[in-house]
Amino acid sequence: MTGGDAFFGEFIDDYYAECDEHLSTARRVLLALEADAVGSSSPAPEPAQLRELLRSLHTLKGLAGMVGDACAERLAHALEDALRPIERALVPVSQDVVDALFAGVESLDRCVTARKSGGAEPDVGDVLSRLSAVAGAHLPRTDQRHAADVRSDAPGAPVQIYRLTFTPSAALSQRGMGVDAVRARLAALGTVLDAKPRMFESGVVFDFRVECAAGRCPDAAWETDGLAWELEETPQHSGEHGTAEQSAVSEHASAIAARAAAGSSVVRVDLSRVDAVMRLVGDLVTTRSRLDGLVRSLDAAGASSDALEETSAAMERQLRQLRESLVRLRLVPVGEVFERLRFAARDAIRESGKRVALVFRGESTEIDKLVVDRMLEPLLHLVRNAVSHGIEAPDERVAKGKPPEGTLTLRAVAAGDRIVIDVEDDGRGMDAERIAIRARERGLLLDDEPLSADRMLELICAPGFSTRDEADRTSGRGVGMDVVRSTVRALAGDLAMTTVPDQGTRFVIELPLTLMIVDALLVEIGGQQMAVPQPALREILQVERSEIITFESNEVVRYRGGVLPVVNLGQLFALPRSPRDTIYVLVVGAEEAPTGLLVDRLVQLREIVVHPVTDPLVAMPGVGGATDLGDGRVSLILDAAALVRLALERRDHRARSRIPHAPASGARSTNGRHLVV
Amino acid sequence: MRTILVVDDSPTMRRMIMASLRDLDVAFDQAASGLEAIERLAVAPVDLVVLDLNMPDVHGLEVLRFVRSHERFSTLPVVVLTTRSDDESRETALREGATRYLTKPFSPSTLAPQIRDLLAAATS
Repeated sequence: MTGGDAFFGEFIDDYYAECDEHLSTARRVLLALEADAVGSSSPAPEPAQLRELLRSLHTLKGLAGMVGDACAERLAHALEDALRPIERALVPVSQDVVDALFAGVESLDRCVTARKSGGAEPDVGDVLSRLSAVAGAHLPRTDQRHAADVRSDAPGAPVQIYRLTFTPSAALSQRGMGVDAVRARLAALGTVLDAKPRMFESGVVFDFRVECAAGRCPDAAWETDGLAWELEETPQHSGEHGTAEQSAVSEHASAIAARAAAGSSVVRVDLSRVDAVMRLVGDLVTTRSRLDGLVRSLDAAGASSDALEETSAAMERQLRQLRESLVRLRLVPVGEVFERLRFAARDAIRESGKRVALVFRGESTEIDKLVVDRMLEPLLHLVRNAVSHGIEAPDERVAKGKPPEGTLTLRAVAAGDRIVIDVEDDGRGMDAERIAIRARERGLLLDDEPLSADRMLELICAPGFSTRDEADRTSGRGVGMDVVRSTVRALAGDLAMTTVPDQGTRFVIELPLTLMIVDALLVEIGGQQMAVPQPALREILQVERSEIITFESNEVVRYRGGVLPVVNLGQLFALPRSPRDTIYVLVVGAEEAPTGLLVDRLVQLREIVVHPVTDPLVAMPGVGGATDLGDGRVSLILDAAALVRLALERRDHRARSRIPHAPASGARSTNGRHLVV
Repeated sequence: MRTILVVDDSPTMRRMIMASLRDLDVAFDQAASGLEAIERLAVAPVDLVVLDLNMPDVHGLEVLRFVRSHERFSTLPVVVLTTRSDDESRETALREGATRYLTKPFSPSTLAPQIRDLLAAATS
């Protein structure tokens, strides 16, 4: 072991991010391996998948070693050792082996999580010995390797093989057309059978062979990307080319196909950097609208400004496109979160002893990375709930005339700028009677009040509401329905439910495609909570109401040897005046011309989700949007810059000046107490 | 300025390697796969390669074979940097023409001087 740990500390966040990717690969492959272990249709695990898993573990081990994460390094190593004989022998594995591998990956995840959160390292001794037992077990050696390498899906379906060449050049590479991008493109066309470099005098050419369904062909536009192709003479049927020619095919071929699409054409970017660019675009939008205002005033003055107007309009379009492209940068396929759900569902299913088929639809639907991350826990809860409470035991289902195996379906659909995720089971449905009794006991439902689906949802989302005396182990973990609802609300989403006795329950979650999240200071003005984005705050002063002076028709407080004009927000929004004597001034605006915003009370600093206010009846100057505080209360977000502009406009009519004779005692300090922002 | 081609399928590992060599006053080119490594070598001049072995599709050893089988790369220093610390891997890589065989985890204080020496030797 070498001592680079401290040096590589700066890469620790990259390490965690890359671990996430490798762990999700590991889960995906293990689930496939398990399907092979119990199902009889596939005789052996896919070698390409096993190699991918091994590579992920190998990379993770290397990275763990670099950052000194010994726990993760040991586990990754043990997993590699356990998998290597399976990869060599290519025989179906037993459930015990799969369980040991799952336990290994889960412990590995816990090691990384513990390090990330500063928690105690988990005890992995037991898992390590289980893995080493797997590694030591004798597996029969077979020669299935190459045979199994041939893809066997859709046997007999007509296929064709293309021979393609790619000639890289500096110019192509400058616009992102490199060999990895080409390979990803070909992997989308079909199965890349072979990829070989060929050197000649002035450079290199890559020869590819791609098998694809008859009728599919390369896009004519690819010719401009350095690609050329021809159809291989004899049309073939998949599964027939496993002979002499096939043995010459690189054994890496199917791995290429599997992996390439997600290959190196992906750049990982810190979300905060994207947000920073997004804020700049927001500023640009403001600047452009100012420019637009100027153009209009030129127009009004009779000057011909057609060209300027056109330019300004073009700029608006471009800014909108820029904003849309940025939003797309933040989107990831929702399938990523579905895979993690599959993993969690597996545990719940095993614990419950039920038979449940998991069905995913719309995995490629894209959603904001932030929304996906925050929705993981609530979705986990819904999935566990459906397994442990919704879906019945096999004999109960048979007695009801249902198939013994229940189905849990997760669906994601994009609808405009919203995404709808639904979690549906075909189980027993909500027990309306039981919910009604429990709700009446707790005084949440009137005796004669009917129980609609909406009302039922409201009740089960009430904090601490459970029809079970004791939450069982599976669904009792993590969050409850109340957290599900508050998370969805805080993300500006909606939660709905339909339930039919003995037919099942369906939760429908509607979420915005993307979100803007900022740190904001919650303040109280006239009994109302409002939010001020933290980046807008320069300073906070505590003042007595009596210290506010009216000076040349402006309200001001003394500040840094001069005066600070203040905006009485309570007055501006026509809110009742608070009886407090001690109030706060939020200093905002440019350094050379700061403005103070008067608020009654500081509540807390927290993250909020910004929802633009689009309703013209609600929109008003000085309000930048609204946020849901998660408990159903809505708070307005103040647009500090707009408030400052309002104040300046008012002041423009009056002379701006300083107090002619600043009091000597206040020359270097302010009269208010400073608070750290 | 000399250029080092860093070949590793892990982006984090590539950044760690480049950070370890940042005091050498060199430029970096990167490749995330064996195929890409060959492409980079063919399109742009490179003075030294830091090469991972375990990569998807074209393995590091195949890159090494490719490099050594072409006249124009015959003297190009190739430093294999891998997690595989067994003798067999080491011997194979050296036999196929690796200039040095180093293992991960590595420390910047051992990697940088070796690379510097190899670059100096290649110039003289």
